[in-house]
Amino acid sequence: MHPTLAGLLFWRRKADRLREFAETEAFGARDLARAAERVEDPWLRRQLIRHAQDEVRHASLLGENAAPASERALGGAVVGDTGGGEAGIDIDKMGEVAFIAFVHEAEKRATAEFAMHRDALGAEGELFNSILADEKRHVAWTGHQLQRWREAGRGAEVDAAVGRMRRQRWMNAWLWFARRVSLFMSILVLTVVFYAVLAPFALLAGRRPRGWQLAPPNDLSREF
Amino acid sequence: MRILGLSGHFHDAAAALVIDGKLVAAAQEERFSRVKHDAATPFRAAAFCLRQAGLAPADLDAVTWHEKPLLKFERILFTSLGSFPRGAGAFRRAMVSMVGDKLWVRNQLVKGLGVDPGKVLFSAHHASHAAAAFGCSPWDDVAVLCVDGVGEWATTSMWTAAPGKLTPIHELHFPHSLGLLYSVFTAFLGFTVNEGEYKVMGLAAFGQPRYREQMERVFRRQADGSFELAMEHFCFHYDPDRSWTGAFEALFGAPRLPGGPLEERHKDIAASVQALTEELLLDLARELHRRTGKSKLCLAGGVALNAVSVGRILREGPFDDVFVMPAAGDAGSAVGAALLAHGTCRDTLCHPAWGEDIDVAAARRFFDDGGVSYRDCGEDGIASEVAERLARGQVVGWMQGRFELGPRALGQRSILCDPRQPEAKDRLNARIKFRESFRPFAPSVLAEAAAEFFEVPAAGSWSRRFMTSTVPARDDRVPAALHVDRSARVQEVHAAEQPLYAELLRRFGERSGVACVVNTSFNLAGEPIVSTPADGYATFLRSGMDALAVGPLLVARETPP
Ligand SMILES: [Fe+2]
Ligand SMILES: [Fe+2]
Ligand SMILES: [Fe+2]
Repeated sequence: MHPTLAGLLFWRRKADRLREFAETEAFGARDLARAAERVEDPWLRRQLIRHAQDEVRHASLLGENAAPASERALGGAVVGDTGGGEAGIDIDKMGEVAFIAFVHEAEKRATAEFAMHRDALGAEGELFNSILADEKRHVAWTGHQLQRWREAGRGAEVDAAVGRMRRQRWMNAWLWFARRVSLFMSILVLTVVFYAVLAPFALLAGRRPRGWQLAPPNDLSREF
Repeated sequence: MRILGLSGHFHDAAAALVIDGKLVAAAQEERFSRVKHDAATPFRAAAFCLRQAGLAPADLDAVTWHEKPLLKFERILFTSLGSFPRGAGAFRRAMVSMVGDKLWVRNQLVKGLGVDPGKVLFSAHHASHAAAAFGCSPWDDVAVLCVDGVGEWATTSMWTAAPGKLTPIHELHFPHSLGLLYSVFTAFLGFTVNEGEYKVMGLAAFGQPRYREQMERVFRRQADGSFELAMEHFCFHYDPDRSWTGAFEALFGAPRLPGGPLEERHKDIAASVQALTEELLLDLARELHRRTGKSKLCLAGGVALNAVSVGRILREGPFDDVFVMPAAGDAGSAVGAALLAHGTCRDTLCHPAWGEDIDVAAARRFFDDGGVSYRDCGEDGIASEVAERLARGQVVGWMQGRFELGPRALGQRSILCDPRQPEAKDRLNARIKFRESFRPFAPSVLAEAAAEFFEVPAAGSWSRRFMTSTVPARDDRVPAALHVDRSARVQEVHAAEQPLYAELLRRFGERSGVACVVNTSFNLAGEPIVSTPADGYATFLRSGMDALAVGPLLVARETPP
């Protein structure tokens, strides 16, 4: 088959992409396992655990083909906050219906993406064949679970969750845009404030004294 | 009195519940959110603490936050103005983060927990550290030294403490901070700040402190124990993306890129900053001793987690004994905030297990449903089963009881292996934990057997319960548990406090002749330590461990790797 443009682009960063996939799969496994601990329904629990086991297998298959993970770049921000690791998806926050709806939509997307990679990678894409078979099963079981809830009279809840997931893709794009705009505006305003308004106070701020200081009183009822 | 202490908004958010002067529960937010070093307002950890005690938020008498948000805001504002006109970036970032969110702690807690606004209290950050250091210690009359990155203004503080009385002596202010200096070098050496400090400490043993002279240029020590940073070398106070200047690079060369090769120079720089840290802490300890005349020292703050320095203060310092609690960093300031609001009470911390318990029935159900084959070895059988496997050279994940408070696994959520085989270390680093080869592992040893393997003085025995100091090894009987300089960050295990873990060590000792195992935290690189059986199982699957013990249940890997 002819290489597609997307294929060529992905090809360039094959190792990176594979590692990214591997990490996503591994993270997914952790979230799914934890979700299995939270749900009451035995069938659902069984699927979640099996699903987690699949994702671990995928992670190791992909990981073997990827470059070793390197440490996150961080040259500064010593005084600021640490981002910590990546947050996964979280059944405690989402609730079980939204969680499964999310997994369902995500698996659908993953299936499509894996298929594209398999085609783009040509012979090396063989790797994705066994993974793809699993992914299709993941789409199927999550779809089946959503159906079970529908039959149990939770159709409205399911539809709402699925709709939310689909809208969220557009929503995320919009939010990203809105955030950029508001970030830009706040940078603008704050920069003006910093240079124009606060400049005279800078002289007052001066230097803090060095050496040993007396501690201010620690009155617990006060925020200062 | 029921008091919830909370920390967060910098790194390692945590919650701790103290009822009538007794610690009931304490846990870091990351164990629930699975985000390593999670700094978010710790609502999940708080919910766990309340659950553990069977309380509702309305039952609380007070909720104490570990720092003064307005003072912190003042520091950030003054600092960015003080470096005018260069501080615009830091100013913007601080305004967005503080005014947008972190300044409104009281509101957040009122909304998120549903407590009365009048019940929300604020303790100065170093006071919280100091209260934790003293409150968890076994002594009634102590000197306290807190050294961290920064709280509100204080970066280093000296105190005396007795039940009901925490007295400040003096403090040093931002930007003159030993913790920040260590973090700058952590970033300079290509490691992640607030995470890679342990790596710098580990790397230091491979180098020589050849950069002493350069260190003296960026850091000036005074005769009274105080110190200052020569700020022309640093820009962390006004540049949100960089922490050192060209002048710094003129002294130390180019920074190491994350993941890049480790050269001799990098090891020597690590050795130099470590040596400086040790000497400076010794200076501070001497000054504090001179001023207070106390015989016991409690250390707290992130820098107190530098176990090598604590080892040196114990051996060379002026105090008879030194205590460092397991969560000496900001997680512990939640404990301190609660103890302080309870009138600076003391409740000696005898063991590290203050987190959530394992639900064995749920674990069994999880394995049954997942088609995972396991064996129920029973309460009595699990220790000997695991001991047997360790003696055969297996690596075993060990999850028992309530999880640990603080950054170290101490036999509640640990990965264990036989310390007699030198190659075990490389196997653990490369195939189980996926981390750098230069990082050492630490031993857990039966308290009564510790002196067989290590040079353990009577002093420091309380700190050794929590792996917060290092000691020299006597010989090479447990090579996998030693660092390259033949030191070890020992955990002494007491049967009275951790009976099952002690039993495991005893059984392993019967088989191997050493009542000592290699103990490393049960997590993969970059992830928090596991808490529930599902976490443990997912981690077990993803690593090269041979077996997993969850309570009395044992899962063996079907095809040995
Ligand atoms: Fe997958
Ligand atoms: Fe999948
Ligand atoms: Fe701190």
